[in-house]
Amino acid sequence: MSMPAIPDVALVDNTEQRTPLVLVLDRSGSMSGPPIEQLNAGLKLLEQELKSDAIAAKRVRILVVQYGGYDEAEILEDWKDAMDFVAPVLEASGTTPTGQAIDLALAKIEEEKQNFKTAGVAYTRPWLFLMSDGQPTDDWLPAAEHCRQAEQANKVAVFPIAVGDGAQADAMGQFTSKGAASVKRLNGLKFQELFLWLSASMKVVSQSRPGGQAQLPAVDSWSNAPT
Amino acid sequence: MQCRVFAASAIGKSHIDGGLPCQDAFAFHAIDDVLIAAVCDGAGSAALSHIGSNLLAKSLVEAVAANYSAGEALHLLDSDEFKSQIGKIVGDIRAKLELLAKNENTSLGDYSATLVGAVTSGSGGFFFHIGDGLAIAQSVNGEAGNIMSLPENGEYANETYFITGAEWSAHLRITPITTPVEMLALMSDGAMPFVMSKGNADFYRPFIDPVANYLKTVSEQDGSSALGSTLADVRTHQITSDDKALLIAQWQ
Repeated sequence: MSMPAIPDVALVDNTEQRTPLVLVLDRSGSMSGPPIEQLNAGLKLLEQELKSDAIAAKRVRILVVQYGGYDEAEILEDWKDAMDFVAPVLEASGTTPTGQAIDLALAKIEEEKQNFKTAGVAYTRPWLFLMSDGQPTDDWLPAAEHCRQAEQANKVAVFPIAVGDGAQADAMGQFTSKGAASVKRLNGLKFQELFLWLSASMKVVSQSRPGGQAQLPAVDSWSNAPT
Repeated sequence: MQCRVFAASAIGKSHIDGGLPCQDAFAFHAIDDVLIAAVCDGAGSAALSHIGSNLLAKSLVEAVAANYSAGEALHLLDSDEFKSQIGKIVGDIRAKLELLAKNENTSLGDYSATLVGAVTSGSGGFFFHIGDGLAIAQSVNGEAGNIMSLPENGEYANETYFITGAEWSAHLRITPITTPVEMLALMSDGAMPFVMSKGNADFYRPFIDPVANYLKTVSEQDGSSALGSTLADVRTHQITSDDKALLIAQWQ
């Protein structure tokens, strides 16, 4: 017969581990109206979903980069643990400086890895989530190459998402070493489904263990691209 | 001095939900004050890693115990000699896994597992380690601090090294136990978040103190059983979805 558990034992999580997630979001003029509203609602959903998961809330760490305006890429929300993350609200206007936004995101990822190392915090591979509804308008080719190199060096996992018919999968595909075929196209404005998928994926990745293959949820709730 | 050993493993929530076996395994053998022990964690992505981890832990402890039966006390060797001896034993087990894989028409990688172990009299000896998991020995009355063997991960926390890897011998790490110790623990990575404090600096005292005090009052069999119930506590599911294995030795 098995003995009951040892009495008065504290069972708490002392792990210090982070799963970095960078959202690189297009707020160009063409996103105005329902697209930007749905995107903002999706971000709010991401916040709620991650906060509702005890492990993900502590481990997922989010950075939001937005790009638009007069070829401007900027940090909209600096690194925050999911439990402290408050979804920002994007306003649509301007151009699509995807290159600048990616270089900014890559630099912030390397900076955060150094912070983790200094603090002795373990981390999983950062996710870079690139969303756009148009063709880049800045000098984006060098940045795309930096992004492919970073992905090939296993420094980051890149997830390009094309929104609407204006987004060019060919250009988006140059930001990943897996090419245009790996670009997911958002079905209509299914931002809610997209961010539900993202939060579910983050819950899996933030708990993943060595030797495990993270089983990500299927993307068919929001994408019509072949997978 | 007598060495008393308590050990248990508990299946993680993700394996319960997925209908998978517990992939953590342990084995130990105590001869008076000498402890021979191993904790192994089978890789989640490897189909037969529960077989790999069990075979590794059991074979290793048996092989080291056979050395003692032959009059060879491994804990008295110097670090280089010990590393060479334990490396040979691990290499032999790896070869056994290779043969098993061949006979079963599977691949060596299907049996991937990590290894953290100890051969010690409580006043000398070694930790040996490939991959993640953790070993910690607490000096008598805590006066000389802890001796630890920390996990070795890749850049990312969800990457590590297995005995089945081609580079396994480059990742075999030895830590001498150079001071008298009163308690020692070996654990898989699933147990680390609640057994260890932040940054793995020390045991997490609100966990280990009640456990250590309780184990002093019961038989080894009852202690291991209660430890198993503690590792299976539903509260651990809020901490990790992984399997958990913990072995605790006390000298008294």
